[in-house]
Amino acid sequence: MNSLPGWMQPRAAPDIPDLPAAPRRNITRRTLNSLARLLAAMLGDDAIASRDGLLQRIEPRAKVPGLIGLVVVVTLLHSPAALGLAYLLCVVLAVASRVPTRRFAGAWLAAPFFSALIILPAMLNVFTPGIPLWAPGHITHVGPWQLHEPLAVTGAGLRFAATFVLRVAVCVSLALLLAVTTRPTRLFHGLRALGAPKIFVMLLLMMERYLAVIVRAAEEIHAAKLSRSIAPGSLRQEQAWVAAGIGALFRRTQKLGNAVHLAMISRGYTGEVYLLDEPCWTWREWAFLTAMILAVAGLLLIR
Amino acid sequence: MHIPDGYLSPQTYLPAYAAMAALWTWASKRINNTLRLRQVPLLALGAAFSFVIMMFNVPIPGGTTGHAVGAVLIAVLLGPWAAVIAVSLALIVQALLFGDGGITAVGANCFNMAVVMPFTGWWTYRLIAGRTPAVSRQLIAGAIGGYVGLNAAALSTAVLLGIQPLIARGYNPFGLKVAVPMMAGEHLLLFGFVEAVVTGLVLAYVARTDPSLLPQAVPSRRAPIVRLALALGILVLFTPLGLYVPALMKAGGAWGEWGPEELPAKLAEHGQSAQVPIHLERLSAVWKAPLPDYALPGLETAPLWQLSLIYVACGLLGVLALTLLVLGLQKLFARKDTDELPPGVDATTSRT
Repeated sequence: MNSLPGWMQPRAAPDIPDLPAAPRRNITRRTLNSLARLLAAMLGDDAIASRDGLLQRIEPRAKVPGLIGLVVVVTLLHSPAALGLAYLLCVVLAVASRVPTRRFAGAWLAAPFFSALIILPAMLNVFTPGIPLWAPGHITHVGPWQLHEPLAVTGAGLRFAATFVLRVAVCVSLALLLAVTTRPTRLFHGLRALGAPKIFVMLLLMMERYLAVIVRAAEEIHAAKLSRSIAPGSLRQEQAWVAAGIGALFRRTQKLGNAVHLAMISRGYTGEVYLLDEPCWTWREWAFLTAMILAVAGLLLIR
Repeated sequence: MHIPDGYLSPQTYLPAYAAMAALWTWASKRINNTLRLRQVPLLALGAAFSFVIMMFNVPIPGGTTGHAVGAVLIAVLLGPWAAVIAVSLALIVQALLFGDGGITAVGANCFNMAVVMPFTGWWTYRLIAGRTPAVSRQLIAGAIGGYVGLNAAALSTAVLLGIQPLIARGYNPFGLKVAVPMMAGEHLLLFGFVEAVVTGLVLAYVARTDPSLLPQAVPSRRAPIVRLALALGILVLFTPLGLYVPALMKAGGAWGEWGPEELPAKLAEHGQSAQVPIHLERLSAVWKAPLPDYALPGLETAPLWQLSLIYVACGLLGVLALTLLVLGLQKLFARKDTDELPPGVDATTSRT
């Protein structure tokens, strides 16, 4: 390893500074920013995956079925206590894998937060009948609809909403743990353990590899427009421009696809798929899978 | 439209996975037959392309923006089966690496956005675009195809979410009565137009700049007259629907098309004097149709299946009569074409 120059070492990627918040009015700049963010996430996201932690050490062919199996079992759980324990397990795994608290807590912002918003009406007796706990005034009409009983939050509704949001949160946390503790290329190899065919893994690997190239091309298309325009055009012009951008991107994609195909043939590709990733099973993988099976059995018993 | 984890019960997402496993296998077989070895890089790049077009912000009236899914666009450019694989790969990467859509819901999400959407959109596109590479036709066919495809996907998503309260408690609590109007509303009124604008304009752009990328016009093996006859035949077979649907709905004849024998009863229903207008009575006696109400005289009360057979026969008879009429008129009035094509070359093959 010492013979490699510093810039070739893993983890030598420069820190990507936080991008400024996108101005709402300039659509081109906004797309450019989101593309840059995606690229930064793709290039710089193995910081956590390269730490020395519990989940990072587990072979993906054991980690992928272990964690995805846990997600499936979590979708079967209906008691808040079991879901709470499952969330506790997530926290333990996150701490043992040295996932930064900010990142782990951030998982709460997207899916569970929106789920909570969506699920709010389900707490009312309109959707979940039960013993009314709290009634916001004496509301008997919603728009043109007449209600059977005054609008109220029910006990069953509260319990339902808590279970639902907790379940979404545990699933999102488990998916996040899987994504941040595994490099994408190794994660795709792990799908082999779930029965994914080789060609499928190869397609995912190639897609991930060229996604950066195509995001880069899309960035260039937007930067070229931004650097040549003073003010945004009319709605119709802007829409036509976006369409032309997508069309141009497709032509580039086709060209690149043909070039990659020729390159593959010149290197002796005959349609046979070889994956270079060799699984390394040690006592750790067996211990991890055993622990997962025990956890799943425990959670199902509480149910 | 990406369903997260926890919204679908295992009774829904497991069958969705099973269906997708079969469809993925079938799709790769289909592509294998057409693309051979080139499939691997083209599909991988198509998937990356599908991922990136979802990030293009499209301006919409009112100063806001939306984004397209692009599944119909990919179905037209790469073929619907290739779209199944490419969009599925993009959705799987979104779920696994970026947390967009749930891991358990991947099968259901792929079914909605990588199967329902490209196929409905592609069929609509083919129906309208036919085989012409004309820019305006591409624009319209692409736009309608995109709109139909996205709304079909939204409806299928809404149905999957809406059946949850019927299957198992504890998952998405809102039934079809809430889920379908919510999803249909926003996609019919807003996002459908974004998809339409993007699909139509991109196809028009491709038709203008590089028509070779559009689906190649494959000359049909059947002569145009045979295809027309087939299409007409299928339509004629569907005519008994006009008997079954009113019988099912307990509806009477078409409004305002009552004959002198039905009119008195209708008038009496609304408290009017049950008298047939004198001119209606006189004029309706001028001509007696040989097959009144598309049925044989005396057989009006026969069982529905017999009536259907007579209906179909009447349809065929009508088509035949019209064909003979048009051919006769053509014989009578058609000008002799001066620039006739040499024998053996018809108009469709001589055009390049």
